[in-house]
Amino acid sequence: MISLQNINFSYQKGRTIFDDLNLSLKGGHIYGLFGKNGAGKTTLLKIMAGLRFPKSGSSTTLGQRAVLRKAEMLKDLYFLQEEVYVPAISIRNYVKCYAPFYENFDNEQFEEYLHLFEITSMDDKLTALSHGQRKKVIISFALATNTKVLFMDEPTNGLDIPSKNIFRKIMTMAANEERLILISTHQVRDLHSLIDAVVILDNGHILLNASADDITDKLCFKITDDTSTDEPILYCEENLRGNLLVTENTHHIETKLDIELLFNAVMLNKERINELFNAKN
Amino acid sequence: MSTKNIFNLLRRYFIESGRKDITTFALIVLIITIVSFLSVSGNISDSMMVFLLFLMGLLYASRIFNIFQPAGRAIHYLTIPASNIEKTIANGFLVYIYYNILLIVALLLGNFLGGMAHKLLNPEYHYIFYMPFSLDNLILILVFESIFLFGSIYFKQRAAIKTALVIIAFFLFFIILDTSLVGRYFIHSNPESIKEAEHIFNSINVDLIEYTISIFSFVFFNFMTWLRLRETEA
Repeated sequence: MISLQNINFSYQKGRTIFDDLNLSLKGGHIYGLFGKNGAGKTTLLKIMAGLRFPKSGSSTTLGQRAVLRKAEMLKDLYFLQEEVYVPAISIRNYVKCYAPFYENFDNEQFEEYLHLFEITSMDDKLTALSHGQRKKVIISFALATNTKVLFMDEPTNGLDIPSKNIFRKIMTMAANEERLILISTHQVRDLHSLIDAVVILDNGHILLNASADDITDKLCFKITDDTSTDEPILYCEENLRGNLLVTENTHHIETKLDIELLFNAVMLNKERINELFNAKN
Repeated sequence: MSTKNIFNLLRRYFIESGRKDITTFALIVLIITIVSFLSVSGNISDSMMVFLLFLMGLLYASRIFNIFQPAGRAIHYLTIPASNIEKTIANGFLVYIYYNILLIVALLLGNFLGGMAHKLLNPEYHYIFYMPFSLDNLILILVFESIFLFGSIYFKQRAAIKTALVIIAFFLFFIILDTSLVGRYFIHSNPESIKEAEHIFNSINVDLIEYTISIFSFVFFNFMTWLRLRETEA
């Protein structure tokens, strides 16, 4: 569904963001895109949406060259920004304006999501709403477009605690076997239960691109009192509950993926992770 | 290219900005009515009407793409599911047809209402409807609007001023170049060849050249707008 090949990208100031980056993403997954601040997560989303042009390499989204921003691609792609832009019109008029561009837009779904987010009036002006409420409206709209590709840049930023819970609920409702959802975030805990594939970006390369099953097949996430184990330890962190460990899963033990621990383990063991997952970088 | 997408873009514009345009229309009608009423003849001069059409048309054209402020607006606009050519055509329609018609109607209506009000106070006054906009000045307006349309996507901020400055700089350069070339020609030529040159100049169909340059410029700047939109990043 999305393919990036040999992408090189830098901003005019000269710092290289991506250096020969390759990435392939398939439909039917909710990918979590992780990386340190300034790693280029938003830029990567923009390249895939045709909003930034790589210096070299090719970016294909839904079978189209992303840089051309053809209508055929855009009608099946939605880019939810971290800071959503809203025009000075009511929610009802926003739907009138933008829904006709999306063939699969479902108004019932939209209203249901708004209802879950406790936004009751369709006549409220978008610019009169708080940042969090605007975000809820645009998230609801984005999901109701039923586009095949959905990019979400820090979707839970600005949402209150109950809304984050509702967000997870509606995300589960909106995900399907065809849809590719790529969420760039630092709020790992908010989206932990949703993400079924992980992409980690570091220093211009993809360090890891693997499904949650693949990760837990190869790595073990444990909480123990002692750190004695015969499996190679990739990461260890002490906290009040004990020692949080990430080890290689040589005994094929089933454990639950902890994205935060995974991220730290990957950052500390780049070469070993590459060997384990055969990530192209 | 899809006419449905162009229609959707226009509908989007009218829903988002229609009310603002109606307010502008009403304001222009009111101002022109007052100015027309206060003027001795009960009419605004032709040149004033053309100047207003010109000025407001250019200001409108320079704001039509207006996607760079606030942050996030560019992403919002560029990801609207319509191609770059459809977006250029929709905005071209708004600048060249919709807004010019709106302005012309507002100016004529204001002038008419002002004339009628003038007539109420001076029964001897006869209002004569007239159209101050000739084909020539409409073509000129369209050409300049196409330049400002390009400016609106080229410059991220203060597009109107920057585009105007570029045009002024271009004309200054052109005038200097023209003056120096003509000056050199006359210095180095004898009276007979100057007479011959005058004869050649007189036989040229200036109107045809003007129309050709106008059409070429109009097409060129619209093409440049499309190209610039294609390569706009967010």
